[in-house]
Amino acid sequence: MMDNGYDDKLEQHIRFVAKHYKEGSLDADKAWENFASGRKVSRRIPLMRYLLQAAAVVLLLIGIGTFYVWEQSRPDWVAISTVAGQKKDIYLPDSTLISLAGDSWIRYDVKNYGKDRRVVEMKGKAFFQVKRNETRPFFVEADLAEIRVLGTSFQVETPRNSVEVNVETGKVSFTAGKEKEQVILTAGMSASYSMEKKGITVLTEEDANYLSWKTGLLRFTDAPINKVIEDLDNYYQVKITNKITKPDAKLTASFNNMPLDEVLMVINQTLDIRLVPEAGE
Amino acid sequence: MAAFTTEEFERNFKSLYKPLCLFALRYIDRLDDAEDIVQQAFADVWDKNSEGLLIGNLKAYLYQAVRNRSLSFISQSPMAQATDVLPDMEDTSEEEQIRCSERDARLWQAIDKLPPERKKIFLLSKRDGLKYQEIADELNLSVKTVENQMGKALKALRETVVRIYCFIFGLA
Repeated sequence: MMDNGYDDKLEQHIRFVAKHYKEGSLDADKAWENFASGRKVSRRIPLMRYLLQAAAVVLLLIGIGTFYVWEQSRPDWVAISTVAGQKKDIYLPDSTLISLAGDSWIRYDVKNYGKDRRVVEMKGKAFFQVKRNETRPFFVEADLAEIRVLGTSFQVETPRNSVEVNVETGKVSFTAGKEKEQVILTAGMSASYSMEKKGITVLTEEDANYLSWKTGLLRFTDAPINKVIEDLDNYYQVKITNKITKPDAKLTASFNNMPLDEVLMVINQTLDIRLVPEAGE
Repeated sequence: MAAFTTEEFERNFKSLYKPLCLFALRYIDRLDDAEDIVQQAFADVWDKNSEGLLIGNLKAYLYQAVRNRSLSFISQSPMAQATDVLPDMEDTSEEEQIRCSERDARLWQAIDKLPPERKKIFLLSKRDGLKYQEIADELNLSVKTVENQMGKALKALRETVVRIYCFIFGLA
């Protein structure tokens, strides 16, 4: 390979390069710096690429923003439920107390509870003793109705296709149905809304026993026998029938944590009727 | 083929700059003029690229551009014409010319890397055309030392180009 042609040619090249050689010249890095500085190179990107990069950045920001907003507003649910016959007391973060009756359910969003509203969703029966806070109204949301209060105690019950509210103290705003019918209830009042009636019925007289499940106390003042049976059914979770019909009979009595058979014995003797729990109960 | 990013452009610039300058030196005499011409050719490509014009074979395009600019340069000032245009320069293929220039760039780099004393002797000999005796006198060295240093310098230069050289002379 190393013939004369090669040597001649190499010699020519070496002479050529040596002739022009200058220490420190033809430095590609230096030449590039020179070239780039005159052109603000770092900021010049071909238009298409620039647009794509800008679009990518915008999309990324939108993505981050969306995620942030979503993450912030994403509810963090706490749910509490009871089985039949069970009772539970639940303190919410603002020390509002919820007494949950059997076979009931509530939930609230820990992250947003008390931010600007206090919202609890529920089914079944629950008694609320709401800590007063006028800047952060308290809402109970049931399937058919919404109850809004500032600070008070009241009970909400949601039997099939209806809602009942009993106010113990304070003032309650009760909104129900698609029609958003609204009533204001004060202490001692109760109201119910049902799908069939499509309207709110307000009762000004207090139902003495709506809190019996919680207090263990059953009180009757001149109560018609049908109302007595209904309250006993609710409280003891039984089905009572009256074997001796006596429609005018009225009862005045109170029972504190007494077993059903003793209660029935007292009533039967007092009114001379015969109330018996249905077989199988 | 997509337009070049700044990084791609920089990479091309750095790898093509030296061979292109040596290519321009085949037409024009002064190193500064050659560098100017190459910078202008790159600037032209840069502007085209910024406008979104696509250049398929950048290397071939740049060699062509540098040739055209060099020819137009010497037509404006004939005194600037190189005196040592290789006689076969216009006869050889474009690819061969590119390879020649790349080989020259390697030689330039090899000279750059020579130890200072050896480089001085080498340049006195090959650039300034001094005889070994004259170099020895100039630098207060023995002729033997000059011969020795020249031998080592030429060996280093040969070694840097020998790989591609073998390949090219297989064709020649």
